[in-house]
Amino acid sequence: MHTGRRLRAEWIAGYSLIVVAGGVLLSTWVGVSGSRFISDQLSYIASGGIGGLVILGLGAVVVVTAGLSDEWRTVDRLQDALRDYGGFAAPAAGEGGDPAVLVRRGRIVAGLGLLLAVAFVVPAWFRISGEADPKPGLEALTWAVVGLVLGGLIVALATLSVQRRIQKHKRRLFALWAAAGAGSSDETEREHVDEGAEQVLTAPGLTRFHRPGCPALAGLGARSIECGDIPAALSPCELCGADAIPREEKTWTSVAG
Amino acid sequence: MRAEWDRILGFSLVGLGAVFVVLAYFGVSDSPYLAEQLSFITSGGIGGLFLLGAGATLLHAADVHDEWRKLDQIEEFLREQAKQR
Repeated sequence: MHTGRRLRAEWIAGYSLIVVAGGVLLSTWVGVSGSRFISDQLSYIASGGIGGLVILGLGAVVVVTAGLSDEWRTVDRLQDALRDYGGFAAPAAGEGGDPAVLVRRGRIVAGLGLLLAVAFVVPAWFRISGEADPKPGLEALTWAVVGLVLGGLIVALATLSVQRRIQKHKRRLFALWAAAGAGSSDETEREHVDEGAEQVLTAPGLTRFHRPGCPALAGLGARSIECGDIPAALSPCELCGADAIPREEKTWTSVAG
Repeated sequence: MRAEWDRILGFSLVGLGAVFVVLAYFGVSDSPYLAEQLSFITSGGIGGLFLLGAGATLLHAADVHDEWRKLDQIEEFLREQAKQR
């Protein structure tokens, strides 16, 4: 299936599960408020209440991981764009891992967390539904809540792990650019450099000139040019802030009289 | 505003969820009957948790959308720059 269409289907499935969870909880509330027997009410809470929250967790996992998966693909596209921009030695798209595999792994772990919650909820429901005395019912309900909390923690950790992998991937991609940006972000330092800047860099076939250290020139065999000799056809690179470097204006005075 | 619908809805759900939980607390503490308390726990307590969870999911989705937009802008800028070179 086409990636965009699959993602859209995942979003719809995730949000549908959340709506279903809302419906289950609503029907649970109707059941609880319509019953006079505490054992019946506890049974409704264990099945519909906790069960509805488990369905909510499932929907949330699908929505969040679909978003993260798409973000990973966007970062991969950006990596290609960086390569096109300047032969920049960025890692090839997909080098950080296959987003589909990463997300699938995260979903499996999150699914196991939800199964753990279900494993606590089902026995609790059986225990409550066959019991007229509310005391053991409340005890069983407490265990169901414990299972829900444990399952929720596993789901959160699995999702955070996928998110951290994506952040790491982005940090690796932008590390060189961030270093270049940090070098030119301090205005005072920048002015100082500009005053003393005597040379800029360019490479054969390029239409821009760059500051020394601009990652756009990585692997391009750059040559240096004096600031006074920058050809008029070259425009400054905006990424490394070369536009702040003053270009010497050559003025000609007629001596012909 | 149209692009921020998920963030607005997310914050609204989280706020509503918090109100539900607080109301459930007052309902439970004011009632001497266990059956009535359980009804409050179901509507306000579990219902409030549901709203908080759904709101948090929407807020997370809104953050991811923001990142897409920023990354798309960077990509567009780089493609433009590459074309001009």
